Amino acid sequence: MEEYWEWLCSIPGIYQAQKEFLLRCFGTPRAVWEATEGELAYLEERGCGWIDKVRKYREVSSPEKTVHMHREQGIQFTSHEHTKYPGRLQNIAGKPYGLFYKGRLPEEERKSVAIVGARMCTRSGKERAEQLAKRVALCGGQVVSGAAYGIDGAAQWAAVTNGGASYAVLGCGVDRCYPASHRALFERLVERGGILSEFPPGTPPVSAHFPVRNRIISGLADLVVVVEARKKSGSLITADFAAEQGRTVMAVPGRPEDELSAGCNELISQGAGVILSVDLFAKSIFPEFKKKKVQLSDDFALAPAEKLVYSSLDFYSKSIWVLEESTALSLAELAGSLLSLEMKGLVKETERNYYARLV
Amino acid sequence: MFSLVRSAVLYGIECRMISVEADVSDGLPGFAMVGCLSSEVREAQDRVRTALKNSGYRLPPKKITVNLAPADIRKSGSAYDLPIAIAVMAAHGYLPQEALEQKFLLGELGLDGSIHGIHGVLGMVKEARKAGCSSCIVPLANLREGAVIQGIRVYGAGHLREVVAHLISGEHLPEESIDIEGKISEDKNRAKRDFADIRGQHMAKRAAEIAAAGMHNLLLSGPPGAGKTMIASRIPGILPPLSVEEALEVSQIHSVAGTLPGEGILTARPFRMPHHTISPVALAGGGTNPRPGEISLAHRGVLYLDELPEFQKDTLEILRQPLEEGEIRISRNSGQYVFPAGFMLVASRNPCRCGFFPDRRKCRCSDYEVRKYLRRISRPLLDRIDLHVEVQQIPYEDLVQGSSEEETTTQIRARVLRAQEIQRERYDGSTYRFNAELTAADLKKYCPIESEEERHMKQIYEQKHLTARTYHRLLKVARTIADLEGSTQIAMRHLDEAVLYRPTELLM
Repeated sequence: MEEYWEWLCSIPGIYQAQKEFLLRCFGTPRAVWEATEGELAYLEERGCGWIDKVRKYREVSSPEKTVHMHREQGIQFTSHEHTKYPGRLQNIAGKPYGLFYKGRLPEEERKSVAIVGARMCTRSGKERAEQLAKRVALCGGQVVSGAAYGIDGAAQWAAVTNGGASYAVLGCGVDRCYPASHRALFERLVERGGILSEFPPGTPPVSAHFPVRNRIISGLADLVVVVEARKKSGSLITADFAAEQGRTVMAVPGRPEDELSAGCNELISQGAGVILSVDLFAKSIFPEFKKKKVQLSDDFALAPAEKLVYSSLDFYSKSIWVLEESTALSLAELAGSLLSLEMKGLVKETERNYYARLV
Repeated sequence: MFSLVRSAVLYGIECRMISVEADVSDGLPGFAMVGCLSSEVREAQDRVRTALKNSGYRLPPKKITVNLAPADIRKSGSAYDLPIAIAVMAAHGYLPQEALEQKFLLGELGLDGSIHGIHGVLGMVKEARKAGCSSCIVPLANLREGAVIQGIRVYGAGHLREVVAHLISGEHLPEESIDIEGKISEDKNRAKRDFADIRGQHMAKRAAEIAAAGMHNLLLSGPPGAGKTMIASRIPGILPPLSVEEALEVSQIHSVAGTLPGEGILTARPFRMPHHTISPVALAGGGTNPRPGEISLAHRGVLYLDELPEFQKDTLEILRQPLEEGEIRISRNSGQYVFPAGFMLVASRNPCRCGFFPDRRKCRCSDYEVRKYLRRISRPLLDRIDLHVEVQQIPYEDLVQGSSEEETTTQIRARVLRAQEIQRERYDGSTYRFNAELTAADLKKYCPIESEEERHMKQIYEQKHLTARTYHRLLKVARTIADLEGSTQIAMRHLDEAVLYRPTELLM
């Protein structure tokens, strides 16, 4: 049965509503494949012009051929009838009939957090997304998002680079890399999680696909976190889906005059959870997970100057001038200490001459 | 009767000697001028005729022919009015030809016979001395400029009659003598703009010091009003003083452009700050009779480009070749001209549109917007700037509390001079003068590093994702930092500090 589902889901240009219609008419995907020309023509005459797409695809590709082609490209498939199909999606409205994926599918028993937000985000929003995703990863959760520019990509990068798993739900085929500059992220995602899509391989990234796929992002998550969002944005669509699907929604609050926080603040006013700090957030969703007190082991053997610099750093980036003032070291000494701290993996240069603690 | 007067024509910033010949013969009365002349030179005949009449000299109705030789060089400008007038008078017998031997004349005439100032006198007088002339007469307005040249007598004249009287009977004409070295050490400008005026900002000030010591180019980025222009305008003050030859060289360029100060010679290093609407030709130099552009006017000084991303792209790309070669070649159909352009480039920019990036408390630009803004300056140009430094907004306390320990220009200059002295010794016998000029091939020879530092450098290279280009820049800057300290070896601390000023690259 699986191959007929895969075949049905691979017909280009046929969306959820049409698949639903076909299944109502024929019962099973196999029946669609085996439909007579007369049956198809009957539907076509009654205003289903798109039936031609089914006919055309049937001519070029059989279920076996479809399956073979996808496996060769390293693309997996699961239908909603299969046991592999994510349990979280089973009960959502408009669940996809099948999912194409590369890598793995999200794990059922692990906590799953969707972190979404604006593509045109601020640097501080990005940093917040990174911190939240990193904490989720460290606490053993998985991060679901859309692999877009801005918040999405930042959160997923942070998750995979901190040893966590992350899953991207795309608005195009899983063989496509969109946005193209996230190629490196996509490669890491396949290794450390997965790339998922309800659209067949080869589907181009069309703007209409993105709001639709947001229902899968929220569906795959237990909790949806919105970091930065404008009043009318895709992230709010995700939050709406989440509310319908009975998922918890949380938002990072912002200043009232900030356009990029308007969406988040609106969500909060409608009853979404507020993210006050990374620690409180982690405590509320991973109550069993105890934060390890970071103890600098003796191996690091920090020089006095390094210790001083390290202690005046924070998890949020500080500029080198602020550090210069608070440590009263000379620029050369400060630069040297920061470099060696960076090489020991304790500190990161987040932006030119801006540093933040890693542990 | 035939007569001959010597003068000179501008050819770029160089000059060529020309002879102004005049002949008076019988025939239909008229005034013919030949010798590859541009229209302003041709207009000289009406000015000369009227000026002669109004000075009280009557020309009989004869045929006058004036030739400016050699005839293959195009002559433009208004400097030939006076030589033409004198040649015509001599041809009419008002003056003996002997009085014009070894004389050199320059000047534009007014209709009343008064003599007006012209451009390029310094270079022309220099050429006259080279050609063996014993004395020159230049417009009174340009007397100081001409007097800068030693070894030739330079007189200033305000009226045609004075010139004639001088030539016939040796009547007195004003002369000037200028003490160039005295003027250079006087340093009026330096006192006006002192580094001690800038509060805080020691990272930017330190970068300026390093830039001056190794003649590196410098990029200042920071929010509006943080003091980028203040710092840049004080850099000429910490550079070593001009030598006499350099002062003459720079003054000659400014003489051609007509931007010399009243003293007749530039004694301080030039600081040029063109507005960002400048056209490519105004920056590089050019025009039908090529004139030096801003980059040549900044020769041996500082070219400051404020708001670098606002400059037209075409305009900026022009800088690439002069930054490498220290001169610019301009080809026009009238010939090829070479203008010196050995300047230190100091540029400033805002880090993003709002100006506050990467201060996340204030900057609300998206990453995309920031990247788009920074991309306006091309990579090849940025690659030619060794030092990149941020200028930060100063806190209120620093602004109002005049802290007394700000270093003065004199203190900083002493260190810069010492560092340049070390470089002079090191590069003795090579083509280099400053660390900034080192090519990648010679880095090993002049910037050797010990094995421990080598290891450290490798770590930096990997940690900071440097490119080969930035690696070389970093090494050069470290060399200068070591020179400032008087250290022969490049140590870890020098490398560490150099990392602070590495070229901007957006981190992931």
